[in-house]
Order: sequence, then C-alpha cells, then structure tokens
Amino acid sequence: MSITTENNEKMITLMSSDGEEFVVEEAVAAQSQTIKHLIEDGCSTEGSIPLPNVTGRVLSEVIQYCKKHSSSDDKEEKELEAWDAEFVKAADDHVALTDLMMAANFLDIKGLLDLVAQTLANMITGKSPEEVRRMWNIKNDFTPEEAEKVRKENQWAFE
Amino acid sequence: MDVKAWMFLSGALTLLTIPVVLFAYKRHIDILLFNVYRRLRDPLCSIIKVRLFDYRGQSREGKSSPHELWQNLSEDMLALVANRLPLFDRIRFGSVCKDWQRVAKEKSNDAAPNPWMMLPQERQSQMSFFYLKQSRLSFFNLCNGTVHNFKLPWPLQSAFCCGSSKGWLIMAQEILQLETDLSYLIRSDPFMQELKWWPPAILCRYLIGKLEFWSDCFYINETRVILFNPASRVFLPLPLASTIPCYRAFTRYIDPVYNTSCFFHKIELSSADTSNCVVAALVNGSEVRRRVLAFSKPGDKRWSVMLADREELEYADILYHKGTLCALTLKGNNQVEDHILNLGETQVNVKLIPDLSRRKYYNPGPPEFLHGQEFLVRRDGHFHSYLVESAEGALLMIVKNANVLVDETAPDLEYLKTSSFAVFRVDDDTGQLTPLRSLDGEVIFLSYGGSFSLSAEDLPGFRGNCIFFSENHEYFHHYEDPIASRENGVYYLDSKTIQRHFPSVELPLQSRLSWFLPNSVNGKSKFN
Repeated sequence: MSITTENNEKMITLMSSDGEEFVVEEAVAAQSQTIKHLIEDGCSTEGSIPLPNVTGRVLSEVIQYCKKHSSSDDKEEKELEAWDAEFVKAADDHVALTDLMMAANFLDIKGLLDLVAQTLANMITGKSPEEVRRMWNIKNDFTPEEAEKVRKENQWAFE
Repeated sequence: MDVKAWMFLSGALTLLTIPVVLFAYKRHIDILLFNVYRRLRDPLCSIIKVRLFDYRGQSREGKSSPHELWQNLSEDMLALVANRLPLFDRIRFGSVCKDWQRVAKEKSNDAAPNPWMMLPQERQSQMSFFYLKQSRLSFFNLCNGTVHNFKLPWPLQSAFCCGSSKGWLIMAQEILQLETDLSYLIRSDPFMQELKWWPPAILCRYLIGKLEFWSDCFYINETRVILFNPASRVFLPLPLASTIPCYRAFTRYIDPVYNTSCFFHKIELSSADTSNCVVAALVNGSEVRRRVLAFSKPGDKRWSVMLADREELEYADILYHKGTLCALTLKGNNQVEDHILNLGETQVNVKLIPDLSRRKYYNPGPPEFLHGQEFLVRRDGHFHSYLVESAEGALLMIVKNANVLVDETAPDLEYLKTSSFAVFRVDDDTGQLTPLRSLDGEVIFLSYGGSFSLSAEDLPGFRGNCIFFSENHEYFHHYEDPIASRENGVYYLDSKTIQRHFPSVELPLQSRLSWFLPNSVNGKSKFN
C-alpha cells in the first residue's frame, strides 16, 4: 500500500508487532538500513512492512527520531545534539532504553544505536556495581568469593 | 513534651507534606501531558493510532522487569555500551553480574585505550613513617582530563617509577646499607622480632631521622626493581641490580645525589602474563654509552647478562616486537644480527638492529648564535633513537633531535632542547630504513621508560600524526652541580612544530616523566 501526498512524497506503512500501523514518508523510513533494503527489494509495494521485533510504542519513538534526522541534514549539529538529548530523556519515560536499543539494532539505524548506547553508558558512569544493580534490578549472581576475586583483580577501580 | 506539642508537630508535618506530594503529582501530570503534546503537535503522528489513554496505565506496568530487558540485549549490544565507558567504569561494569563480566572480559578488546601521563612523584619525607602517610602515584588521564591517585603499597614506599611495560609499572627502589643491616638484625635478634612486621625500608627511613651521626650506614648498596601492577596492586620483585657486574662501576661513576634507579635505562616485558614472561633490561654501564643487556624471569635470583663480549655495541633502545627482543645498536655491524640465547630453560630471541639513520641522514652544523639567544647553539647536535611498535604492528624507529645549548663561560654545561623528530619504518630482516612523512593518523607516546602508538580514531579529541614525548635527561658528568632535565610536549609531523604544555616545575631528581597505557579489563588485553 503506497500513498502519495501532495508533495509527491512517497508514503509507506510500517506495521509493529502488536498490529499498530504507522504511515511515514519513505525518506524517513529509509533512515533504517533494514527498511531501506526491504523497500529496494520491493517489499513495500503491497500492503505494509511488518516489523515483528518492534512494538508500536518503541516504533513510534524510533519514527520520532528518524523524522528529525531526515529533515535536518547535518546542518545545525548543535541543535540536533540538544534535540537528541531531549529525545532520549523523554523516551526513557515510557519505553525501556534497552528496547529502543534492540529496535535500533534490528532496524539498523546507526545514529540511534550510538545515541542509546552512549546514554546507557552515561547512566552507568560513576556508579558502583551495587547502584547499577539497584537501578535496573539486576541480580547479583556472584558468590562472595567470586565477587572478592573480581574486586582483587582490579582493585584500583573500587577505591 | 506534652501531647499538645506532639499534635501540633504532626499537624505541621502533614501540612508541609501536602504541597510536596501535590508538586510531585503535578510534575508527573506535566510529563504525561508533555508526551501527549509531543505526539499531537506532530501532524504525521496524528495519523498514527496513538492510544493516548493507554499510556497512563502502561507507562510503567507495561514494561517487563528491567533485568529481563537487559537479558534481551545480545552480548554485542552490551559491548556497545561497555566500550563507551571510561576505564574504571568498564571494570566495575564487569562486576555487576556474570553476563556482564563475560562481556567486559571477552568483548572489550576494541574498547577505547586510555593513555595516561605519569605525574612527578612527591619528594619523600623521611618522616613518612612517623606520619604514616602513604606516598602516592598520580596519573593524568589524557582522554578525560582526570587525575588518578593511587597509594603505593607499604613495601614500595620509597620506590620511584622509571617506566612501564605492558600494563606493569617498573618501580626502582634504593636499598641502604642500614636497611640490609636492619633486616639482618631483625631476623637474628629475638628482641627485635616484633619489628619484623614493618617493612625495613620504612623502619630505615624512620631511623635516619634519629641517627644522623651514623652516616656510614646511609650509603646505598643496592637497587631493586619491582614490577607493580596498579590495577591489582600485585608487585613482583626482580633480581637485585648488584647481580649485574657493571652495577658497582655505575654507582661509583654517578654522583650520589642521582637516584641509582637511573641504572635501569629501560625494562621490557615479553608478555603481560608474568607467570610466563622474560624481562629484558637495558642498563647503563660504567660510561655514558656503554649499555648492557640483561635478562631475568620473575622469581629468578640473578640477572643474566647477554652478549657481554660485544663491547663495540652501543644500545639505544630495546623493544619486544613479535616475540623477539629487538635491540637498536648505534655502532658495530651494519647488518641485522639474529641471536638465540638461553636463559635457563627458556630461549630468548634477540635481534640486533643497526641504527643506520646517523650514517645516512645525519649532518650536524657548527655551533651558531640563534636569533635572540645568548647561548651558542649546536643545531640538532644531539639525538636519541627509539623503537616503537605502530598500532598496525609495524616496527618503527623514531629519532629525536635536540639542539645543544652551550654556555661559553662553562663549556662543560650543555643543555638539550628537543627540536624535531624523524620517523622511519624498519625492515625487520634487513634493517633497511624507510623515512615516513606521516604516521597515518597514529599518535605515538614516546619516553625512555616505554613507548606505544595508538590510532587517533580511538582517542576522541586527539589529532593524528603527532608524537607526545617526554624526556628525561640526566647530566651525569656534572659532578658539582647535579642537573636533570625533564621535557614534555607534542610534536606535530604535519607542521613540524612543537607545543609544550607541561609547566616548568622543580621536581625531585628521581622522578621521571613517562606515559602509561593501563592494561585493560580483568587481565585480558591486547598484550596477551
């Protein structure tokens, strides 16, 4: 199913794993290398492109990102950076960044993947392992002896 | 306190909490509204069937538990996060849980390296025992501009760092005659047994403050080199320096104000794994350019001097390259020589590589007055050659040229100031040199005590094609007036210019400047 808008922009429909449909300009969707290849292979001419690994919620965030980055091409880098920072902050409120990262990986959007990875890294930076575990509710599966061994090997990072 | 007061207090508290709760709730609503607004504002997203009201209930509950979320990430994706962390955070990342540890261990080989600059060590107080103040090592992290301080373990208190190799710091420690006597006394005299818990070096320093008259005990009779891994705080003593025959000649030759640690010009480890490694040392002999090669393994009782009969050789630098110890020789044979030497049951491959650059490319001019200088200057009158392995794994030779400043009133005093660098690629087999105009975007960190090369792509904020150098030059022949010069700067190959960043400060004579590349996470690194 392809719609053409007044501006003669080709529109394509993306379908998330939970059945939500998103209609976006082709240029926006083509930010994703995966979708770009699918379009090139002619998968978009009939019906919508199914994205079985991405939920509607995550996909809507991804589309936000792609739209911004396809409209402003490299100019005003500073402004774009600020937008990116605001975007991840807002995205963190209703989707898990790890989900966003998996979607970016599956859709092959390098900029978004880097952005999310950097954000997660920034969240970990300066925190003790205990704080990181608490932040994401990660189970500590080291025995006390193993934990002590890990600590000993690189004592300087724990001082 | 009576009941009324309690009621009053609790009432006031409740009243105070209401605005706080209201404010927090308002903030929560604001955030929700903002997200709704963000979607509505967007004309295309209005086509999207955003189920506005679902968001309220789903925003947190809809997510699966955070731990599961992280479990969904593949190791490659976790590594993307881990490799963006600064060194210490990457180490702590590995201690969060076993999955993450595996990622930190196995996938972080391509993590960004962190070159550090070793900062001058503090002058050691003889009363450090009294104050129980542990001396420290300080490093400046060139990647994020932070300073890392590490306390030295007690047995290394009086040691000075004279370089590094494969993530290990080379610490040299002087041992006084007093210390030798003291440890003998403590071992043999039952009344002094309780002192055995104190490291002799510290007891010694304490005693020096008390026993000024007992001066014949203060002379230095030994130097010990200790490998120190600042990450794990493991330290491994190497054999005593006096097991190398020229040590006595050297200590007679230099002025006592110099630290005898400068006996060791450079120490190279064949591998970061010290259980299976050969340590090569280039030591200063009885004359300035008479250096000697010595080998040992951690745990050995003595150093083994190799190729001692080849008196004509003048070694400039040593480097382990592809498992072979390459030694750069200034004089002697013009051909590359391969030797296989036996160190106990271990075979050591040694390659003598002639420095052909002098013979071919060197042409110093006569002394002249440079504009605005009151000293006579011999342009490029001094040189020093280094071996470095490029990030690509090629063998490079770097020649540092220095201007020599001559004071006419005191012809003995010559000062060196680095002027330029030349880079050559060395053919391992023939010793043939190819001059290189560019380093292909690499950054070389150069010092007597250990050099390495990194790709500028891995170093955010760095320009490629430059040499970070730090120089330590001891003027041993100035008997009355001990001088050591410490230089530090960046040489840009493209513009052939030098930038000097390090301020001019007075340093303890013993403290040397060098670069250090910390061995990365959990023992696994590119060095293994």
